[in-house]
Amino acid sequence: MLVSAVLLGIFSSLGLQLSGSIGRAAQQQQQSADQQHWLALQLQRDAGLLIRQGALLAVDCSNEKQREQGLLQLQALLEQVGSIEPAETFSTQRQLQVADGLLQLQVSIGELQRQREFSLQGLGACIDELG
Amino acid sequence: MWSKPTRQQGFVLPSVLLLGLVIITSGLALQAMALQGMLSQQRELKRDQKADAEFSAVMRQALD
Repeated sequence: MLVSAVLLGIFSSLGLQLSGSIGRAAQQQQQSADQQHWLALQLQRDAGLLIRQGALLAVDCSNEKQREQGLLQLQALLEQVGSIEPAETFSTQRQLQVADGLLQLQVSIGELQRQREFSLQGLGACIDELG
Repeated sequence: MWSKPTRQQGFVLPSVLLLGLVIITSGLALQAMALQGMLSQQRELKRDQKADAEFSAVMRQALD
């Protein structure tokens, strides 16, 4: 009887520990899924805005100054609209940078990170491509 | 004062052992499922990042 009681105690303790560990793993998984969802949503929204706005720019892409100006305009637009509010209080980061004729967009939450680059030509913002 | 265990008492130890086995196996199975879910999310993130890299490559190609 004593052996059974001790074993029951051990198994109960083990069960509680396993339950706690599984609960934490499930919570972590849910949080990670929410974070990935935010990253995808943010990129999708920003890419949509750039594609729509890029088509309206009509930049002469043979002119370097105009190209730079066009990219800076798009950067300013994204900075103005800001980030999507995450469902939970995550510490999100969004960086916009113009370099090498590209607008680089980087979004991250903790260790999770995604990055996309956009060019005026790729967005169809150049006059010669419109014509 | 030793008393002979009743027949009912003889079932207690196997029942406890069986309960322990159920707790351990179900716990391990659930942990494996949680781990599988996390691995699946990591794969999804890598797939998304690869798609981002391809998207950026197309944008870079358009520069030329």
